[in-house]
Amino acid sequence: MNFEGSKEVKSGVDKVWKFMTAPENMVQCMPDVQSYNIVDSKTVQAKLKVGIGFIKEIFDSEITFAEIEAGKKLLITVNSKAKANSATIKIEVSVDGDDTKSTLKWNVDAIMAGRLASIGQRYIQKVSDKIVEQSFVCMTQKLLA
Amino acid sequence: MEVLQTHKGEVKAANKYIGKNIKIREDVKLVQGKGHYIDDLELPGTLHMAYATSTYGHARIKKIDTSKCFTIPGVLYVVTGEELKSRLSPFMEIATPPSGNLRDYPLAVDKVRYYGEPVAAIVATDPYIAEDAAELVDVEYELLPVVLDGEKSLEQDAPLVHENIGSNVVWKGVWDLGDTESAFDRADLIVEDVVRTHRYASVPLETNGMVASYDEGSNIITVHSVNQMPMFSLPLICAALGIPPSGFRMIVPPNVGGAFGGKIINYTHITLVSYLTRILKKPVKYVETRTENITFGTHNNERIYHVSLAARKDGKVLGVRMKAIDNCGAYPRYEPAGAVIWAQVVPGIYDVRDIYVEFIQVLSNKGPTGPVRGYSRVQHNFMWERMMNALAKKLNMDPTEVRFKNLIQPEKMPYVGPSNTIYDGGNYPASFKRLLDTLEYKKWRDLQAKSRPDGRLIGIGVAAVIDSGANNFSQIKIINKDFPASGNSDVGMVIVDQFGDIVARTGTTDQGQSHATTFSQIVAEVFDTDPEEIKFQEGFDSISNIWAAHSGAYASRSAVIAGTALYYAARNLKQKVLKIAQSIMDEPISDLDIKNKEVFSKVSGKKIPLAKVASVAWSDVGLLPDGIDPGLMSYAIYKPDFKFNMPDERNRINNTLTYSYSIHATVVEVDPETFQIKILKHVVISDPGTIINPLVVEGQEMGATLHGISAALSENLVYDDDGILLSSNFWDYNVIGAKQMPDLELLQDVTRSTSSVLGVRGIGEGGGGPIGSIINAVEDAVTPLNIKLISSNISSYDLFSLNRKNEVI
Amino acid sequence: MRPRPFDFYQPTSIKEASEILHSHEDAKPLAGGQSLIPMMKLRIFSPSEIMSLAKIKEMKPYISETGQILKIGAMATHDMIHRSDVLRNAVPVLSEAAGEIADQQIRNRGTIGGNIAHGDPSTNLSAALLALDAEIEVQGIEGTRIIPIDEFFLDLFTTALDHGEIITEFRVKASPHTKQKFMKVAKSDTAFPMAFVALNVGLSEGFVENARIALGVAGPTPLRALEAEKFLLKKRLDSEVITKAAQIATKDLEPPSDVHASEEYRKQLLSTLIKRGLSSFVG
Repeated sequence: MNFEGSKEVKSGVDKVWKFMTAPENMVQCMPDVQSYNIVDSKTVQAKLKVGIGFIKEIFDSEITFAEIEAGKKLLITVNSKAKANSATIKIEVSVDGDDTKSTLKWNVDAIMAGRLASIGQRYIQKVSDKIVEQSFVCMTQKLLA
Repeated sequence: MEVLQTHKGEVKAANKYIGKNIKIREDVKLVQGKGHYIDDLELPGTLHMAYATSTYGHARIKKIDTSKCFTIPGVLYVVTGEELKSRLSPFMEIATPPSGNLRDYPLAVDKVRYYGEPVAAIVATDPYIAEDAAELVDVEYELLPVVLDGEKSLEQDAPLVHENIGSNVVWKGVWDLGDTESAFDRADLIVEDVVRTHRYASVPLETNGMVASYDEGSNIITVHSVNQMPMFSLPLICAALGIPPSGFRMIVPPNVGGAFGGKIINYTHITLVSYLTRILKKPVKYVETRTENITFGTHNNERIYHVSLAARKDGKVLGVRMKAIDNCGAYPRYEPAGAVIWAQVVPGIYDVRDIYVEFIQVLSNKGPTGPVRGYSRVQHNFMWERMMNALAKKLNMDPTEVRFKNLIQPEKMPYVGPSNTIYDGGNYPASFKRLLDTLEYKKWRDLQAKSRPDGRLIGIGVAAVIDSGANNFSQIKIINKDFPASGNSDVGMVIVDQFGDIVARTGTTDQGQSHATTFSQIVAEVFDTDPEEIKFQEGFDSISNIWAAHSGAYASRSAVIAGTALYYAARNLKQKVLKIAQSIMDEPISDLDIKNKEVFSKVSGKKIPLAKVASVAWSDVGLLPDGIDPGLMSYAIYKPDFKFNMPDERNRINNTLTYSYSIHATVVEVDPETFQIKILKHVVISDPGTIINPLVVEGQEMGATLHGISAALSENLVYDDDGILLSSNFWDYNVIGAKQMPDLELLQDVTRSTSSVLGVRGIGEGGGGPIGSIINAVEDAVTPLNIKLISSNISSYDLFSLNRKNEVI
Repeated sequence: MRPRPFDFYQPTSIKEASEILHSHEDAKPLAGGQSLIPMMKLRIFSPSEIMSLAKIKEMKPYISETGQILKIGAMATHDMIHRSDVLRNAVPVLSEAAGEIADQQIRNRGTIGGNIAHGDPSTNLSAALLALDAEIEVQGIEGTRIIPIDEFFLDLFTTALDHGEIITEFRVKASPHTKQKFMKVAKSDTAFPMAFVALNVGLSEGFVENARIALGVAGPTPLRALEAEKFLLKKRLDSEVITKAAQIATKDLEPPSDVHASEEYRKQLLSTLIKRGLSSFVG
């Protein structure tokens, strides 16, 4: 499953990059965070409550951050497990712009596996797309705050 | 006890009860809920097993943490592949190395190879707890690329499903029959095409289930299971467990809720519950959920054919060459048997003798395959029927005309085919003509032509299948000459008990085929006694019942093989009854006969009840004449002579005994906007051979036809690109219901089988006949849209997409 | 049916029921179980508390007629609705939609209240009730309120029901003089549907007086084709108008994709169903 999106933000590239590379900022914008634990500057463990409408499972997730290109491109890898469900998600985030405004672009490559992926096939792409979008909206709001 | 070996000769055409519409005795009991199915069995103290299954299609197992399972009270044991690897032997493989070295255990070892593969098994005090705990198994996976398509799995850099065998190939073989080179030289034209068959399942109403218990005193494991070939499966289970067959008792309950081939490879579950009961010393039960049944219960093989067909311009087919790539999923299990079973129907119903087949069976990251109604032949028959249409199209001939040019003629019967199959009678051209007349072929063609200008999409399709029955296991020798299975055999036993009741048994099992009714009719015929009076013992028990190693209900073999054995057992017992009666009645044996449970003299009219004879035979044995053993019990084992019993160097063998055929004709209409497909008419003609009970035969033929329609238009196991099964329950795997079914017209053209003793043919499978006629009809209907079909499954969504693609181009 | 463990409540009054729901955040009401039970069985949804509505005395199933208003108790089964002569005459689209729900056994169990409260865009009755401009009576700890169906469906499996609220009744206006139709495409009775529509069009001397077009499996919620409805007003239903309306109705839709149908195919089905439904009103 692949999808992408972008968002404008009225913050400079440096500020955005700094925000993105701090795991505690990022994890707070992930969907319905139940709890999290920052392992190190590149790794976070989190319990995320994700699903379709009221059909939700708590996913035990390990999220790692790797710089692909300093100041520009970040790879976020999410390995998630819930009861009878798994997901392996790679999100490539790039930031482009100047000192006052920037554009965030994301490209998601996800393998959704297990029960929800099978039964929820008809909704899972749109729901995933929305969840990622919401996470980035949260980021831009936090950046402006 | 009298034991009869192979018999030759035929039953005289005496038909008082054979062939009659005797009321099916099983049905009333079942609709009243009085049957005994596996899930009805509750042994005291039974524990329940549930699986944790793979969420991915292909991944390395880095770590399995099962500790959380034990946080739930009632969880007693958790087992993973790691434990089984050291405690069990891998299952026996039919193929020789390298693929014979492939390692298959009841649970995934080192890797998961398909979505839904069992990774761990939990045993708990009730099934709810077991399933709760199964969700707590924590598996750390490392994702591996998946290979889902048969052709892709042969590519150089394809991911390997089993690394240790070095490729994804299970087995390869070549059938070089006749002289295709000369046939292609003589041809006016060559037609080339690709034909694909899709993946669907058996989906019996009752899923797979088993209960194992262990008796420490006798050191015997007893398994109650729905397995449909128990004595073939038993050695596989015993070898994995490392115990002798004497330490293993196999029971099949009196009622099994359908199988259609899908209850053979369940030996993996049987092995696991047996392993667990031995450890836990309590009965362990497992019954598949519907999702599990759809995910790994047994899928039908997908096959891709690349075919070249050589023909004359008058439509006569001279020869055919093909490469077939068969996708058997992640574990071969009963495969590669299917890689040779198609060869029962090498030329279809056509008189074509120069045939070259290169057959390759490969692995993929999909669920395991195995026998599914029409096993391995349905694909091959479909290929023929698609090629006949392709040839007709190329020649601009009517597809029925092309078929008439090629049908095997009745005077050639019994017909020895290019691979030494012996087609045992039938008049194909006459049946085909009757089918077309009943369909009103001409009328529909006219309507089709007339209505096309108005945008109506009407199509007509025909297709035939050979429903070969009573298989010859020697065909497995083509794959592995050392594999210890050949021929076929089954047993029958008839007893006249102390009260003079006639009781029959066979070794075969029943999954709804009405064996009690049918077999009673055979015995009734011999004893000239109302079939309602014949008792038939249902169920299977390897310790207390009779059986042969091939016993079981599969490959349309029960009526042909077990029925014959029972016929011989009854005939022999009748002779013994008369011998004893002779001395009681003091009349010559030639004057005596049996009718309605009495022995009577045709001369004096004197009669005595069977009970009188039975009392002397069983208890009052001092009165028995010299040389006659006590008891009225006759046991016969029957092993058919296939004539070409073993494969020769060109893989030629008569690999089944009877060859019932059916031809289907379908008229469909496709909605030009929604692309929905509606069947306007469906007619079937078949030759089941001598019919024992017409109601039973009609039920089988109707069921097979409806299964085929459902397979062609609906049932489809769809995996996404990551190998996740998307059609894993009845929301998305749709078995067509009664409301969607069209009215069927079933015709029969009965001829006796020239190969079976009773003249009957195996008709339990039906071979997916409608698949070909429906695909041909739909393609015919959408001719104005220039849509070409390749697969054995077509949906309105497919038609929409294919049409959209045309529009874009 | 082997769901995860749950506590079970069986209140006998609405008051008791809303109190239970109010004080138990995870409690889920169980009506006929048509959707809830399979989800629990498949373990994709596992409420830790189930509250049955079966024993609530005010919630006995009923269908009644008060002047022009038809009242349907939330616990009325699909079978009752399908077989009701009153409904068949007054609101045929509802009767037809109920008759096309799954199979007889499910119609015997499934209820109109459960069907709507589920917030699922693929339930027949949500489209039929949208087409009929139904009013939904709900009761909660704060009392009773009426939610117009247009304001009821918020998002996928998300409705305007507050936690603690229970649907008690549906009210629809008898409209025996409008043209109504329910049309559905599915592989089998129990398969996930490909598309369906519910149409309710008032005609006066051949001109459209009012129109409500509801679409199933067309997006995250049951949807109305508002623009198409507007377009149809005061127009005569000729083939050009009908084709245009079907086009307008589906052009901006984003229906889900699955093994049965892609987004594009669902759009085509919806558009065809609208076209055929509208055509049947003037044929």
